[in-house]
Amino acid sequence: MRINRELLAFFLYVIFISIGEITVSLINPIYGLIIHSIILLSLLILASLWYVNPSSNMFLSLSLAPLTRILSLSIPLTYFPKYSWYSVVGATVFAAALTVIRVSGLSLTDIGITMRKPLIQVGVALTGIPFGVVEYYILRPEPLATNLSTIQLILLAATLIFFTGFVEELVFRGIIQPCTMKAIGEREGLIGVTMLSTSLHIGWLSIPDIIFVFSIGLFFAICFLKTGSLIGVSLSHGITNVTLFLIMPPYA
Amino acid sequence: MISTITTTVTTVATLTVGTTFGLLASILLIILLSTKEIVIADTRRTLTIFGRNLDIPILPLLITFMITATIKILEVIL
Repeated sequence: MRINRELLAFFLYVIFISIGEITVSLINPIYGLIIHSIILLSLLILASLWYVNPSSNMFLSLSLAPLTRILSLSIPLTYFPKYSWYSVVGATVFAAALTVIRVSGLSLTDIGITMRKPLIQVGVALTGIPFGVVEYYILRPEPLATNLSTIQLILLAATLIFFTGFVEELVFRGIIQPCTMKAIGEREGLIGVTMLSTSLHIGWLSIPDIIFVFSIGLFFAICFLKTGSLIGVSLSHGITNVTLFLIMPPYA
Repeated sequence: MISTITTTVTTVATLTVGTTFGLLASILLIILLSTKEIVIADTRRTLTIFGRNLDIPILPLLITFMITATIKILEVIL
């Protein structure tokens, strides 16, 4: 009975967060921000009310999803050069993630900061190249920056790998996935967290991209579950974005 | 108006709307800070835990607030 209640609550929140994302992208971002703020507060209240239950950590970790969107919308990014957006938003999301790790009492091993099965990690990391190429042909984004020197390009790639690769994987695979799987079960947790991370891509307004991101998310979730390490999936995610925004646009 | 770049980065193209977001985030921060002050005064376990959980959004929103405030100050000075 308890499991059913937690499962229902989790999927309801995935739906609420998706509604928030649709509102941000299609209706009015201000309403979307208000919806995400309400979701965030309700998650923190639920986590406090159910503090003796394993789902408490699940609700705490889930709060990172609406918080991510609140932070990315409320920072006046237009004042910054485009290439620095990832580090500005990423730094605040990273701070939130570290607070969740401290409050939830998660260890470094729990969140996958470990170099288990290094050869498999290298293999997983290299999948980022084909993923980036395929996503480029789906989205065809503008180049992130033009006329950069080699050093600037390397620095920007490193920023993308850390702030979009590592930080996003830390949030979804490192924190939310283990807390959710502990509360609602392995299979449901894998699919649910993948749906959650995919819902934050609604803003691209591309159904092929949603399907693609869901498939990659599920691949990352399974890799993290089997290896227990965040290193390979973080690098793969980062390399996907480097290929998508830096390598492909000038040459395709 | 709205632009999604990656999972985390979504921004708005106009500065006016961007300022409204900053204002809304500041209001949210004030609500969270005042709620924390109220709940930590109580000794009930649920409220103590709620006060601790509120740290999760407070810290990044404080950073956001500092960034916004710094930009606004620089805008006036420069």
